[in-house]
Amino acid sequence: MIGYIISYDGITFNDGFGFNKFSIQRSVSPARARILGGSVYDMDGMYTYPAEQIYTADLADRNGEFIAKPLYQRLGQYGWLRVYTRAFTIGINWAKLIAIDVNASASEWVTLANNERNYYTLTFACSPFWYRDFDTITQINGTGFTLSTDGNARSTYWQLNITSAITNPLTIEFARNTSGTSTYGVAVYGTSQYDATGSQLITYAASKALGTTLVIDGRTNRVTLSTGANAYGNITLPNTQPNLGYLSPGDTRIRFNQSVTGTLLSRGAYV
Amino acid sequence: MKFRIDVFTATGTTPTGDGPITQVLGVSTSERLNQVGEIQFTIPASVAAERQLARGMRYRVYHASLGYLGEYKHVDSTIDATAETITIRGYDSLINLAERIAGFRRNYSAATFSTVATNLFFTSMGWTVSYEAAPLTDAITFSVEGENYLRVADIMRKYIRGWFRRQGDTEIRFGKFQATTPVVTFVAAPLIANDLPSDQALITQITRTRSGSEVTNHVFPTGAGIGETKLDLRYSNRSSPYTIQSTSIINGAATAYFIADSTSATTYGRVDRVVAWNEIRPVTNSEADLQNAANALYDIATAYLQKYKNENDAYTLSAVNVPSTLRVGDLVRVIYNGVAELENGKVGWLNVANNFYVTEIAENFDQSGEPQVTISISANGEAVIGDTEVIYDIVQDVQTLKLRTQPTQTYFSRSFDTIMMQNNANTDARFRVPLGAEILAVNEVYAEITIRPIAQASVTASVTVTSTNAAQGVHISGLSVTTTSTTTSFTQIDTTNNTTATNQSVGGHQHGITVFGGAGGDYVLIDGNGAFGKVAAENVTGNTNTGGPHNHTQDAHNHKFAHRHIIENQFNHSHSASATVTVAGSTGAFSYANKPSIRMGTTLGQIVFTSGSTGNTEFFAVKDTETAAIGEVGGYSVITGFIAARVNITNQFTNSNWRDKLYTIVLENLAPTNACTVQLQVYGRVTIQPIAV
Repeated sequence: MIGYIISYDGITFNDGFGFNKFSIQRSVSPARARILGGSVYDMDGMYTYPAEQIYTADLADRNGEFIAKPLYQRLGQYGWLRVYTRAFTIGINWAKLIAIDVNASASEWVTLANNERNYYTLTFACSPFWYRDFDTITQINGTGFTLSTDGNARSTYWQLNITSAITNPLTIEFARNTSGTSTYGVAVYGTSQYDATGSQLITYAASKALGTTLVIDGRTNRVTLSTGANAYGNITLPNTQPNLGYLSPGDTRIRFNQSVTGTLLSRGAYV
Repeated sequence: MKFRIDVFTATGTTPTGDGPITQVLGVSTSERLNQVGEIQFTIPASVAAERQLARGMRYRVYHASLGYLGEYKHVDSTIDATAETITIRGYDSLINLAERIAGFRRNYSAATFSTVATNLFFTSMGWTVSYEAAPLTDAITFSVEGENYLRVADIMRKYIRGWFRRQGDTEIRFGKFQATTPVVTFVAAPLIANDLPSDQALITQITRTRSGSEVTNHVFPTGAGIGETKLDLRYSNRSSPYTIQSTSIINGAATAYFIADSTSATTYGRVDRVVAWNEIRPVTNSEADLQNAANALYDIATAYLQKYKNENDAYTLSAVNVPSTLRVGDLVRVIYNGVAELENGKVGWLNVANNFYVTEIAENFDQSGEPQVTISISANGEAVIGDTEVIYDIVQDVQTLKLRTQPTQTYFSRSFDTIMMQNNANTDARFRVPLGAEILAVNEVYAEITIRPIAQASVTASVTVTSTNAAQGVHISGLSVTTTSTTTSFTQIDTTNNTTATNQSVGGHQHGITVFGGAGGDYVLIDGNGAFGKVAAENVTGNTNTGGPHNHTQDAHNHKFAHRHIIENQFNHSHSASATVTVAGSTGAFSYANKPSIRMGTTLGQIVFTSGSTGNTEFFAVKDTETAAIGEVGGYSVITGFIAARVNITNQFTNSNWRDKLYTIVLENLAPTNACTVQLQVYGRVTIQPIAV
């Protein structure tokens, strides 16, 4: 993947910067993905390979502007990394800044003159899944709807907010619409790039009054109430379901066992 | 990765945190037969820190295709060198059984296995008990003295030569190595994976971990106790499948009991082993409980012998296409001909075609989420000792609680109050002697009897009484006779001359007279001299009184007389008399025929003293006699009539169930001509051993 870095944890690298190149150094090998019986690769969108994806950003600071200090302040920490690539235009990832290499000596930093720039190489580690840099907000009013999601990987970047009253129990089903289309082209083996298993189910075994919002966050795997209380203890998942649920690329059918009101925040995922 | 982990506190019932842990980088699990299983999973260190994961936490682990794997308890954690990830290790739910003691003085004597298991694991711990086939009905005998439940499960499974495994988070399953059909066959043929049948797995690597060096064919089992108190097979009445044999120990002073497999000894040579099961102890010292405990020892020793009489190889092998339904305790078949690593670290050729029991299943999930399976197998179901064996054997060694106190010999003596026995054939003297359950053996017991006849005269007493008459005066002896009724016949005076009785020669006195008469009867005549006479029937016929003697006729009528005798005591005086009683014969010798003859009886038998007559130095012969050389002949003192005898009554306590009984020694007077006193003392030497009931 080739592109350029846009921002990292609030630090913006705009066009005023000099040379800017963002490239991938190491990624998940398809061969390490699980082979599912029918030779289908499993590239599900889970936050599992923080050290597998290594990216570097080569850039230079602007005239007279020295950006090393704020970068060193973020060394070793996670932050949202925004990049531009041809694959998905602008994408974001939860990345960790693991190295900063500067091609200037310390003494030269102080005496930097105009038109002289320092060149940096930033190294990031993150999961192989990139998300679109904007949220899709879907209003919910009823017992279900179909959500269209871009991307070419399952996305766990979603957050369900239910504001209406809930009668115990509430069941929420995510089902990949098999009549939809896969958008990653034709794989080497088989016709489908992604796992075609059945739906995922969440059961919330408690009542909720109107005025309190139930927040189910697929990206962070958290279930809370707007009051801040932990509500995960009321959640039951099938034994073979490894997370709260994911959105399939293309259409995902979302259904409830009772009429609910709320919103669904989501983003597509790319590998 | 394909895992989801819910986190619970030590006692929580709902997951902690706002959600599950899904950032699982690697997982490996290990299920073990008769042992606690284990899990290790790796997660980002930041997640562990955020969740405050620490010892005591419980983890419920789910897999995307295998489903719920189980609940595990946090044991320890290891952070990697870069501090990026942390590996947490946990034990499966069997650790909960290892952390609870099963109690004290819970004794089971010939109890049904399933009943005991239900009582221990279900009633006490709330665990479900299930079985490989049907509930086990084997009779088992053992006691619980502070062991934890996991140890108790191990004791029970060894007793029946069986196994146990974790079947669920709160379910334990017992089985016996009796399966005959392998559930999976492990082969080494170079087949394409997809062509393998579902009941075949492909061996990718095999190592022999044990080459059957633990053959034993002569087993000397021991139970609880120290030294000579140790329980062994002497009280057992079992004879099948092995005959109980005995042999003298080196110095020949004691006997050791064992069972042996002759076929194994012929094949491998004699191999002895002493095996101690301190959990097996008699509940009481009764014959029945001693036998139960010895039989329990026999049963477990038989199970042990049958397990180790032949070679028992063990292997570890890795394989693919292992069905997820394979469990420890299952029977599998291994067919392998090829190079393998041996237990000594070398590589050699193995030819294996045999059935084995699975003792451990280890699954290592890589980042793709699929397990790489490694299983351990052994021919007899016993795994190679691993690290977790120490879980229930460390630190809290409760074996000292099962040791029986060494018995000690002690002297005892009991004396009774002196009892008098009457000269009556129906009297006896009874003395109560208790022998408690703490007495292990009666070494020797004597009854010492002392009989003292009460001295009695041989002639009757005579009495001579002389009286002193009053010298003067009339005295009054009160007599009064009164007749007032007119209808009542007059009392006829007894004409018997009572003057032969003691007459009162002094003073006049009066006699009571009753006069009666009636029609047809004679009439009383009192002549002028005061003499009584009777008059014939009337001789007066008329009412004319013309003179001369004549009779009057009158209607029948009564004469009323009131009179009394008065004995006047003109002078105060009294009668006095004195008597002298003489008892003859008190200074003479006792008659031998009059001495008491005492019979001694107990509830178990009788000892009779029989009398003899050999002159003055007579003695009582007893049935159970001691020789004169040790001076126990009873003596009879002519002068004092003292009788003493000592009787050895040890052999009265040789029957079964003699312990914990109240004995009555009865002394019966067979010759009820003499009263006597008896005094009894029982003393001797016994061996006592306190028991915990």
